[in-house]
Amino acid sequence: MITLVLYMLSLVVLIGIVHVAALAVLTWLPPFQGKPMRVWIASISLSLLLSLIAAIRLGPVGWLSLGLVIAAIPLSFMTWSVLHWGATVTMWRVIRNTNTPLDLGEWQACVTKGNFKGNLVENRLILLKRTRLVRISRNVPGWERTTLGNSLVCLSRAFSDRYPKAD
Amino acid sequence: MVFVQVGLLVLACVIQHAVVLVADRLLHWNLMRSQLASAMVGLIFSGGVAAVLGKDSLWIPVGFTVFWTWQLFIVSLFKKSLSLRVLIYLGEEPELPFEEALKKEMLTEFRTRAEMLRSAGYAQRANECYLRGDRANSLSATIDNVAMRLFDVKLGNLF
Repeated sequence: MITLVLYMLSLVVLIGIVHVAALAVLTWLPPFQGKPMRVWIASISLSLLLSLIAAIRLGPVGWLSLGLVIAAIPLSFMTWSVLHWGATVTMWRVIRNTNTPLDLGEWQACVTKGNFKGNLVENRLILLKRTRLVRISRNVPGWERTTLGNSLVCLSRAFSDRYPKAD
Repeated sequence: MVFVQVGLLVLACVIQHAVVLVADRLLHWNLMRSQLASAMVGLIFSGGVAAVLGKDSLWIPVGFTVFWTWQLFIVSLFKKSLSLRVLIYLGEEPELPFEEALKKEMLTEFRTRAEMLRSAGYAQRANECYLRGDRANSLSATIDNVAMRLFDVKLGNLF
C-alpha cells in the first residue's frame, strides 16, 4: 500500500515538474509571449495528456495519479493567476522597487498606473458582459444585472457574509 | 462495497465542510487557515478509511483531494473576486454613482492589503507613508523574484 502511494506521488511530482517546465518554456515562445492565460492552458493540457497516457499504460496507479493531477488544476491556476494578475503581488512589487516613501494614494496610483477609475471598471464590465452577467440597461443609462447575474449575487451571499445587502 | 466507499467519501466531504463552518463562524479563522485545517481533517479521515479498507479504497483520499481543491477554488472565487465585487455593487448602491461606490470599496480594500503587506514585513509605515519593508530582500522575495523573471510577469497586468 505504501509503495503504491509513493509510486503514485512520484508520478504526480514528475508531471508537476513537467507542468512548471512547460510554463517556463512556453512563456518565452513567440506565439505565447505576453499571453499568460494561453501559456497556462497549453501547459495544463500537456500535463493532463501525459497523465492520461500514464493512466492508460500503468493502470490503477496511473488513474489515481490522474485524479491528483485533476485536483491540482485549481491550485495551479490560483498560483498562476496570483503571480500574473494578483493585486497584492503588484502592490508588493511596486513598494519594493520604490526608494521614496509613498502615501496610500500615490501607492495606488503607481499600482493602477493612474487608471484606477476608468480602466479597471471598464475591464471588469467587459468581462461581466462577455459572461452574460450584466447588460446595458434598457430603462436608464448605464448597466444592469441580468437574471444570471442576480442569481450569482444571491449565491455569493450564501458563501460569504462579506457582501451585505444594501439597506 | 462500492456504495460503502462512496458513502465514506461523502462523509469525508461533509466532515470537511463542518470543520470549515466551525472554523469560519465560531473561531473566526481566515479563509486559508480554515480551509487548510479542514483539508487535514478530511485527509486524515479518508486516508484512515483507505488504510483500513485496503488498496482498493485508495481512490477515496484521491477523490476527497479533488473535491477539496475544486471547492477551495469556487469558495475563493466567491470571496475574493474583483469582478464579483463589481457585479454586486452594480445596483446595490443606488445613492452613489456606480464607479464612485466601487472606488470607495477599492480604497478600503487597498488599505487592508497595504496593512497586510506591512504586517508581513514587506512594507513599513512611517506616519501616513509606506516604504519598502525589511523582508523585501529576504529569501522569499528572491524566490518570488526568480519566479517573476522565469515566467515573465509584467507589472500592471491587472489593470
